[in-house]
Amino acid sequence: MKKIVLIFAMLLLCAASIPPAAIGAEKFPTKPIVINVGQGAGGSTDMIARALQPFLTKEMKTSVIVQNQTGAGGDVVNNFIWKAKPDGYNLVMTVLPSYTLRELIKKQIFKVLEMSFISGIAGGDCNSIAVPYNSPIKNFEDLKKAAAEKSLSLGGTLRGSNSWYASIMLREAAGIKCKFVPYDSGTEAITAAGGGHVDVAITSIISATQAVENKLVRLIAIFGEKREALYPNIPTMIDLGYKDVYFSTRQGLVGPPGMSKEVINIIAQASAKAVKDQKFKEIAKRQGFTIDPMSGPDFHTWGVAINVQAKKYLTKAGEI
Amino acid sequence: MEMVNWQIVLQGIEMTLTWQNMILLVVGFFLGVIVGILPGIGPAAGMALILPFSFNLGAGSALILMSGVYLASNYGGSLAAILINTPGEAASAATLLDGYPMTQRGRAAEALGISTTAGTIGGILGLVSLIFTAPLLARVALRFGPPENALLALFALSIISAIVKRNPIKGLISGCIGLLLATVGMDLGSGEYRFTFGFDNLQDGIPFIQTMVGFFAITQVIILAENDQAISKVELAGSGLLEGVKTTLKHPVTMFRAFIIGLWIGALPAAGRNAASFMAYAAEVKAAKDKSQFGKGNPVGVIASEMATASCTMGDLIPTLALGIPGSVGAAVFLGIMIIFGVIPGYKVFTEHGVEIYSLFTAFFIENLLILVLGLTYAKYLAKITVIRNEIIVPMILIFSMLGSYSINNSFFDLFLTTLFGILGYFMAKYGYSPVPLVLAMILGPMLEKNFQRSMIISEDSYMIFLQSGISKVLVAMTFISLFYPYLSPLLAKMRKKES
Repeated sequence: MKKIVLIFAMLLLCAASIPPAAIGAEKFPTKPIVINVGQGAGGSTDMIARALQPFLTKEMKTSVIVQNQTGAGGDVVNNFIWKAKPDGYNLVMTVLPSYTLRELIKKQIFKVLEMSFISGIAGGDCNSIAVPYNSPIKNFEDLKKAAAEKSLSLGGTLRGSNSWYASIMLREAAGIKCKFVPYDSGTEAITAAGGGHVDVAITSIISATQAVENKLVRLIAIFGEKREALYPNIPTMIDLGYKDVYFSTRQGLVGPPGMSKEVINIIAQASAKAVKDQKFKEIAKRQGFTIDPMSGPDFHTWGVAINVQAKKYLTKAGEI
Repeated sequence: MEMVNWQIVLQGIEMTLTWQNMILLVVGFFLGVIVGILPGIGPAAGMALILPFSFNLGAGSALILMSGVYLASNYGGSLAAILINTPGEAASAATLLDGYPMTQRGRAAEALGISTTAGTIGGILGLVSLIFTAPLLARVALRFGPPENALLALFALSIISAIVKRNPIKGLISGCIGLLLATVGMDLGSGEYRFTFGFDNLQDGIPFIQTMVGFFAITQVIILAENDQAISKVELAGSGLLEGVKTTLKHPVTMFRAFIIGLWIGALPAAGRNAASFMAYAAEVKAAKDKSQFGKGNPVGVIASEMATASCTMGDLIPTLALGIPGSVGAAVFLGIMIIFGVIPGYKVFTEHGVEIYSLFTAFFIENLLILVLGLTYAKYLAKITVIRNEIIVPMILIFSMLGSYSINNSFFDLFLTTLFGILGYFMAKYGYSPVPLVLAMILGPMLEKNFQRSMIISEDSYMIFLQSGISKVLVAMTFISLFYPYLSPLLAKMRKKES
């Protein structure tokens, strides 16, 4: 028995000591690429990364692995990527604007905009304003009036989240002041609205859809740049006359700062091909995310604009 | 209530019983058992990981596959908890409190028999409740807002007073350590970080499973390493399984109490399986006349925990199916998968996707029976693990639990935490501090504090919010009774004596 264990252990040791084939400088990739995700398995961003993984594996001709590094709303994964070797083997499925918001409200080691932007993958989910289904508030005008009369409670997610940012926009641009009641997730916040425990909730449309379908809540406005196909009657904040009150969420591949152009190009081209795969489109449709490919530079420009807008609102609100 | 369309029910049952779907069911079931045994993967992550493989299946088949993972993970979690004191799932940490001491006394097979029986009965009763009362219970659960949830957590915490009666000082110290640990992380109101010491990994609070693995598995590894026997101090007879079935059936009151707690905690979106199992365990200790046997291998503790976990697993699906609101993290992933496959939960689901839903119910029913079959045939062989000598089993448990703890966040920091809690647990065990108050406080602390803060924001700092609804008033009264009854009851008895 002991002998067998010993032999087995030695075999394991041998396997571990074989060097990864040819660590060449020119050839990329020669080993598996890891896409790090700041959410746990099953989260919306994680699902996008996992949907992309087989198609990117096919195009890169090397294994692509999805690895969850959860914690602190993405700070853990961002700090990891910030310090990682810029060799292209460690990437992050970034989420904007939330990672930018995290950077702005707290002194961070990482700087989102200085990382290497490779390609935008998905985008378009935006936040929405919901009220309990039987609420006397029927539209945005009612909300304004009600907020002027008494102090309303508004359910959203924690400080630094997209939903929290939307509530700040609502306050600073539309002058609607509410008591912000923080919940751990959008679903919890929308459930609170459905039960009538808060007067208003702000969550992503994805979190709200089920509650809307089941007549627990009603949407009265959304924060997207254009109207949602699912809810053509719900106005955007732009429709309501607030020109600079809009933002949506975007996910894409980003690497550590200082990646070489060649490596960025190889991954960008592979991901551009992967997102065009018919099967990937089918999976995206099933999972309910919108594929919105963007080149690295375009994604970066978009990130800069988001950063400027966020700085403006957060400064106005006295949050930074 | 609308008339049930029996044709659709039959179609649903037929759909599950095709041989392709039965294979998927069994595959899902065993994947679930593995997911359950491994501390690092819970049902939520397990379902997410196998999702890509299910895209080529139809909606019904995919849900059958997932249902196996969702349900069987409890069973796997209990196996690891009872046999090697490692909580494979967060909820099974309550099972090991008495399940593992049973194992140490050579009663592993009996403990597994209890886990199997209570799990099956809890699962089937939970399923029946899900089918017949989901819309009603979900509506009531929706009425639990921040003040009600805060009061519920407070009530559950008050049970600690009954548990620690034997040794109040040590019990309260243990509970207070738990509450202190629960304050680590972001403060909900201000967004400031408390007691994180600059570690990003502590910003979301002290991670629960990693802590439990340290607190129970690592502690046990240290204790086992101190002597050269085996986990089971007695040679195993290999029987006792049927004994377990009998023991379970002899405690209908325990089962009923744990079932109600599990189902209700499941229906509430604010609390999950770990809260259900610990609350049921605590309620059982409170109700027992002789509290001295808990933690030393009292079968009643195992029955309560297993029953509550199983019914909570079904209870989590109540708001999920009725309103599209997930009752737990696992149910949230299950909800997501249902949506991906076009089975949109909600009040219309029975009319629009009746076949898939009844097929899902059938699958759950068969899986519950599978637990029974598996439990009663293979458990006695699994129980043999506990007679392996310590020098072989200890390193295996150590590697297994460390791997599990690491793989949750892929973080070395978590290993450090697991080790730290292992050492803490070791000294607590050495000096006779019960771990129950600590774990209960760690689960309930955040629920209490967050909902308290939310209530105060909503009410603009008026405590009257805690007396507004009828539910709140009842909860306040129950908390008072629970806190003071142990001290009042001897007085009442004296008064009665005087009168007579």
